[in-house]
Amino acid sequence: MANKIFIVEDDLPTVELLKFALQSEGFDVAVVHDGITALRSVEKEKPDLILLDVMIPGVDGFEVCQLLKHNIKFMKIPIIMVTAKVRKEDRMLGFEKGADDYISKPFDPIELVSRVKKLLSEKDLKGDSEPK
Amino acid sequence: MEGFNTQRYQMLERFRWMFRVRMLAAGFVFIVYFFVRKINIFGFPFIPFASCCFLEAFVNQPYAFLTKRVKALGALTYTHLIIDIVLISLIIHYLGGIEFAFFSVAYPLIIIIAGIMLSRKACYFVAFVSSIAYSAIVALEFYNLIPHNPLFGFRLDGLHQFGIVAANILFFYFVAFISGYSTDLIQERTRKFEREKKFSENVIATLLDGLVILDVSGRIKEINKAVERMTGLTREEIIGLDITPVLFASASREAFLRAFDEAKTKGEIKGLELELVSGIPVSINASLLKMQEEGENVVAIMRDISKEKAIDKLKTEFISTVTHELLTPLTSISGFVTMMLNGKAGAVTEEQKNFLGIVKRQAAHLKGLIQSMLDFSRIETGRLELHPEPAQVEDVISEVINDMQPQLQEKHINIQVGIKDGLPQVLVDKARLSRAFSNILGNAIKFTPRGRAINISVEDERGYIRIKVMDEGIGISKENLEKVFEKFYQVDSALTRVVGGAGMGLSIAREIIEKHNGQIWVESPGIGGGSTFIFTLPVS
Repeated sequence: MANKIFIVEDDLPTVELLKFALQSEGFDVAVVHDGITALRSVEKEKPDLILLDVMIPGVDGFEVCQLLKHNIKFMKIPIIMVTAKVRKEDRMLGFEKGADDYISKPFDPIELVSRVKKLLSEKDLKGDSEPK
Repeated sequence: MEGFNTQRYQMLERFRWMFRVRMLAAGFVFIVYFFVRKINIFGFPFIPFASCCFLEAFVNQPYAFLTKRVKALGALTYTHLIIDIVLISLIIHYLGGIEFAFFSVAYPLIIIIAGIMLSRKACYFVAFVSSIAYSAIVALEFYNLIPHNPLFGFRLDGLHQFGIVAANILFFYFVAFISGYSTDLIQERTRKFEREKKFSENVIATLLDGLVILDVSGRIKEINKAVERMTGLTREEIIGLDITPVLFASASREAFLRAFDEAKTKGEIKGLELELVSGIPVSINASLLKMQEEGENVVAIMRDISKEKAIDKLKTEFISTVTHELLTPLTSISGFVTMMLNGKAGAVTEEQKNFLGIVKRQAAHLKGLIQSMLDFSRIETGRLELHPEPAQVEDVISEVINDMQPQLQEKHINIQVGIKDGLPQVLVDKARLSRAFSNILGNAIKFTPRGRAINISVEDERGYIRIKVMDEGIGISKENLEKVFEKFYQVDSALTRVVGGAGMGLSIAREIIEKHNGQIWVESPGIGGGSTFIFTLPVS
């Protein structure tokens, strides 16, 4: 079964780009445009990885990240923060909130896809080593 | 009437024993007189004499009482002095008149007191009244109009009496002169001192910056109006209290205490940013200075920077939003172009590839410009902070040159790089240094015609690493050599239209290099001669 990527992003052209880049690599994609919907639908969607924009309406990306990482059900889902904030402090804040990777806009979609693949393979390795 | 000086009257009250001593002396002389002459005690005018002594000793008791109730203090003091003179004259009379000339020393005492309490004029006034009283008593006794008590059983003849009176009067005026002169001197000095005190008090009061004087344990000794304004507390409320809990918000207390201790040992701490306890949050920039003369006192100067902070915050937010808004569309532009270039959206012809390449490069250029804008705003607000780490400068330089290969190739520029072997490590912020260098190199590329060369060298020289970027571009005229580093400056606007640019790159580069304690300058033989940008970085 194809891995499912959950995109939280309010800028439609960027969503299109992410969708196109990921789908062309064979990923399943689910999209929401704001933080609250993201938190509501993450359980239903059961994604393998989340691409999370920081500046989204409602609850911002850092908070969404923190809430997910503090929830035992979702804490294992890798999160990549995607944002136009380029300052070092923001980057640090992202990692503090539990993000697994951080990519700043404008990003190279090919690089993004390769990072997604890398995180997913790391996750699989971890998942295998964990006692069931 | 002359002005009465309350302050100096209070001082004088402390010397009231002088009056008592004077009267004790009178009593002592009386006893000697009594025993030596073995006079009949009933023959001596004992009662009036004793009354005069008593009155003289305590004449300033009712006077002190009245000074607190009477408004015309000058007139009161003159009256007091005249009563004093009359009583002294009577005592002299009872003690033997002119033969007791010794006792006329009492008059000069009154003259000195007049100087202390009033003025130079009062001294002469008392000298004058004393002369009249003294000569009147002598004259009245001389003509037997009042009884004379000859001391030690002898009496001076008229001529001697006249001589002694004249000498005494001269002495009175001499004392009046000395006393008056020193009074003037003291008054002048006091006035000057008070003026200066008032002046500095006014300066402190009108200061817009808050000023707090602290003792060694951090208790508030004095504050000015600005502190009252900032905190909303009055002077009376906080004098004598420990400054830390009274003025500062809990988050700032520890920082203040640390700085306070440091100020006591080092003598001076500057640029301390603290929050005040107040209705609305007040941010201050504080300096602490140990006072040189007054023991261990510390002066705290506090400037309200709430407004600056609010504006700074607004600016940061604004720039962060604008950057975000600009970078978001750029993401999809360059992202889709990348996808197309990589054939993810179907086959692309060579020409399409070429065009898409241009779009991609321009998008990258735009991203660079937005980055510059961000840097620029940080430089403007003075918040360009370096995160230095030891690094090889030549590595940073090579990386930048590599990144700029597409631009170099596009213009067919031949780049020659000469790096000296074994260069020492330097403490630099790699990201910032690479921005500075790419701005300089970008500038060189921009102004170098197609197919010409750029020469780059990295060397070390007497504690400095020196980086040279030599281009074969249009060059810079002498008068513009300094201006190229100014903000938004473009040497030739007609040319600028051809090459493009906002005039921020070199200004940012200079800012970064100078932050690293380096230097940057440009050399050029003039228009058409190419230019050489040189910057140095200190080897730590």
